Amino acid sequence: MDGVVDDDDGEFEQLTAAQVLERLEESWVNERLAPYLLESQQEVVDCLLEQCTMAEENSSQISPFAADIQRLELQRIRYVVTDYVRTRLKKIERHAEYALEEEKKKVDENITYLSPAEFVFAREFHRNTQNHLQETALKHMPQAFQSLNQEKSMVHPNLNTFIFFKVKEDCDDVLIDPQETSVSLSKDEIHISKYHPISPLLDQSKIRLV
Amino acid sequence: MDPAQIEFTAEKESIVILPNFTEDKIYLISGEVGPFQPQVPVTVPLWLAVNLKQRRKCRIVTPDWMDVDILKDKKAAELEMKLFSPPLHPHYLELSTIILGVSNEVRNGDEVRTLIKDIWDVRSAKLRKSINDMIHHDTGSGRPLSHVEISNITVLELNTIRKFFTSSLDHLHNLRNQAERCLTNPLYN
Repeated sequence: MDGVVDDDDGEFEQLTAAQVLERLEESWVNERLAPYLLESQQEVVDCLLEQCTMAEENSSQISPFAADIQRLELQRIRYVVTDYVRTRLKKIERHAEYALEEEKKKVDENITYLSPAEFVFAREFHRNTQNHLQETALKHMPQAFQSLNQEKSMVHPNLNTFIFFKVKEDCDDVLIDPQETSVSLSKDEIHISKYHPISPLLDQSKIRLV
Repeated sequence: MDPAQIEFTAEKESIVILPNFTEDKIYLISGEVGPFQPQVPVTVPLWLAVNLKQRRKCRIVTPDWMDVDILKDKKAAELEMKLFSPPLHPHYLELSTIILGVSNEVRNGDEVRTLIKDIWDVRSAKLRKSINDMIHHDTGSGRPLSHVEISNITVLELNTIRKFFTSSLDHLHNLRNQAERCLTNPLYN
């Protein structure tokens, strides 16, 4: 299963199925450990699901033994994909308003944090929570108190939480803490620091969370 | 992260098996495995090896580092060194637990199990001590730690302290920020 095409930054990148799976598993671990949503890897997910359905359809053409083993692997892949999506949805549910605000403020069209389906989910979830609050509580309050201040009631994710990461490529002059001097990171070291200063490195795939 | 999920990740590691059946190459999404011939060593992912072993279709070749002498040396080295020495394998505990659980052909299995547990205990103790030092560390002017390097630690060990360590550093920094804000606020001075 070679030469699977994956869309990356508007250019087509040839990746093998194994590399796509590798990328999904890394994104899964990163997503589980990060305090807020990372860039949406929707193409990777779609590509893998396509591979899975193709493999299932072809399973009649190979020996039952091989089909068995393939089925085991498909179950593993399906678990990773569902847990990845589940983690993202949980984060969206926690920070629905913040996510929608960020989407509005987005500067670079190529970097999406919410896939189209997730955006719809976030909007509907937010709308439903607002309605629920309105119906159950706000409606019965005196007129002057019947609105919710968006800014103050939003749940901001804590982007300054501490996080462990492993370095994939050498990076020089990384400003880990604004009040301290910059450090150099060498390959295969494990560090702990605040999430915010190193999140650009994570987006560029120079580090991965561990 | 759950330990179960870390074990799931560890199951991707490669291991050598001796099959007792014949089969052509199998093309999986994560790569190809095989072809399988009786008594010819072949490298497969751990999850596949465990499944085949449970169906009595292969024998698992014990990894090199699961040997009593090597483990004894490693344990002595760990006890001697103040910092962490490179681990036996990035997923040594998961791999050894799975292999010892499924295969009864590991030489001196019980002793191997005890030695690995000892190594784990020594490393955990070192980890706890170094966390204690790190939290009491002062980067000057009373500011708590904001960056540290700890290599040679496995993901499972890291996971045992993750929650505690990250939230305590969070709290320390919060308290420090609040203190600074109060000191510079004209209202309180």
